[in-house]
Amino acid sequence: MPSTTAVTSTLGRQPAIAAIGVLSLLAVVWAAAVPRPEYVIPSLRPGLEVDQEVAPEGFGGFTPDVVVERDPTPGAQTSDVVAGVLGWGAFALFGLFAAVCLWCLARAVLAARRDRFVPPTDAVTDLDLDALAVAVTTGSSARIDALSAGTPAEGVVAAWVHLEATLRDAGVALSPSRTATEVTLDALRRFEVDPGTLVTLADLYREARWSRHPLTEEDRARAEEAYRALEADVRGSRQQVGPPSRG
Amino acid sequence: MSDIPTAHRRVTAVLDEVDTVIVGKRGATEVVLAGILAGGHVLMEDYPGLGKTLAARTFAQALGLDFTRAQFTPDLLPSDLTGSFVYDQGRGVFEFRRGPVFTGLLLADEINRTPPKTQAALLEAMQEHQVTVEGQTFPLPQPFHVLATANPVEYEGTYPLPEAQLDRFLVRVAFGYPGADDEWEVLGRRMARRREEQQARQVVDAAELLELQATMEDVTVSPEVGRYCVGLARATREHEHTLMGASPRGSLALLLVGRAYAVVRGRDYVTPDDIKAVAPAVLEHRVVIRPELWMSEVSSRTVVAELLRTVRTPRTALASGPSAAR
Repeated sequence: MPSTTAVTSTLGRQPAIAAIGVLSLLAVVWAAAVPRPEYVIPSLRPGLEVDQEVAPEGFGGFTPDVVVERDPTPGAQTSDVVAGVLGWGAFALFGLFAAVCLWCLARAVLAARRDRFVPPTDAVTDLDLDALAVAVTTGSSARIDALSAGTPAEGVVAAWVHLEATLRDAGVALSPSRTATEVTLDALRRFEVDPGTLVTLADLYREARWSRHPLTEEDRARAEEAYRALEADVRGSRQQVGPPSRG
Repeated sequence: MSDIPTAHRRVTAVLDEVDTVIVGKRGATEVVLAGILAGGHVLMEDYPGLGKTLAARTFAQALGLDFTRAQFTPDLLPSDLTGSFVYDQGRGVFEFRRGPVFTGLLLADEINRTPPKTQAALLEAMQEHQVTVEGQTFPLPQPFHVLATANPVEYEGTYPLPEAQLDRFLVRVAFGYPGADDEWEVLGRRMARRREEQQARQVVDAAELLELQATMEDVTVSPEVGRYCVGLARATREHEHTLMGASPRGSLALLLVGRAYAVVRGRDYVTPDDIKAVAPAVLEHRVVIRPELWMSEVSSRTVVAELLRTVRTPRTALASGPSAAR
């Protein structure tokens, strides 16, 4: 199941940008819709009745030759119609922009849902450690038998494969994208196992599996010793915790 | 030619020496050294103050290479890097004056601050190990490596490296911020040193580095591991978020750096774990994300991380149960 943090982090940026866009558009439309006084230079419009509201005196005694006036003539009514058309045009434009923004928002949400970060599902979690411990310890003798068969390299690989199969049967998910040592060591580190034992086993398996040079009987003996230590550590680790309580 | 155990010892000595200067970045320095051992060039991309330049200089000192530093600025010309012909009045001839690129280890500091023309001048040097000026070709010394640094946050006035040039870098490494203990260690060492400068001891020389690089050819790569490299590189091309994935040069780089990383770890064979360890440094800078995803959290890092979780690793076939596995 995807983690909430991952999903919200994926969803976070796009809706925020879309919301800011919508708010910006609203602000622009609001600013355009606010009625503004007309500024007319009287010298260019002779015969108009001048309102009393004169522009304030400027700095240094300079008075700008600009006054605010209301124009009752038919020409003014025409300009009102034009203003109305422009207003409706701006409203329609706003509607269009809002639709585009909503479309972007919906697209962003859908994309985020599609592209949401998929957390690793291959981590070893929720294991029944008691069952795992039982499986590891009871399968020990069979593992040693597998180790003894064939060449040292074949024995080391066979014993490791046996260990992996034991873990899988005990409920450890063997994701195909994780390496054999990743899965196995991740599961066994849950017990109080000597890290050196795990390193020895993993190194011997890697060498037997991926190198071209042969392993020796000494390597086989080291592997056997490490497997016995693993069994003892797992058994001891579970005994320290104690059996699961009943009822 | 040295054998693998000897090579591992020498490589470890180099890393230990680098660790005396660069605190708490063993993982990153291992990848940088793996890139050099594989014969490649390294791009170090991180925030200012995290020791990129210091790391480059320290590697040059520990590896015993000639070291030059070129500060890449907007007005840097190609001839400032490669060198140019200068008229010798005494002899009445033009003679070639070599630029900073004629060295063992070139620190290309803030490489994304110079225009593409000058960046491209470095291409021939990086790829062909030679420079051509006015029709004359001059070979570079061997070994020759470029350690370039780039700042990923300041984009104003920068020229992002084109994909073709990014592909020339074998690995891209980010050091990242140190932990609190490591940061205090940096401060403590500075106080104990009682001076600003730091000097690493020379561990190998240029000739020995060439020998170490030749040793990489003895590292075993099983066909399954090789196919895993190919699978990862191909998956970057087929991922739904990528506009362009890693080229075959990318899968080759994965294999070469994986080999060197195996030697760093003291092995003469490459495991799938080695490939997974170096894959982010090798693949992330070769992946181009679809432009429509610029607002999302998708990046080349998330793509490569996802591929490492999804591409099948080579495994030994399991039997149906413990008894059958025997």
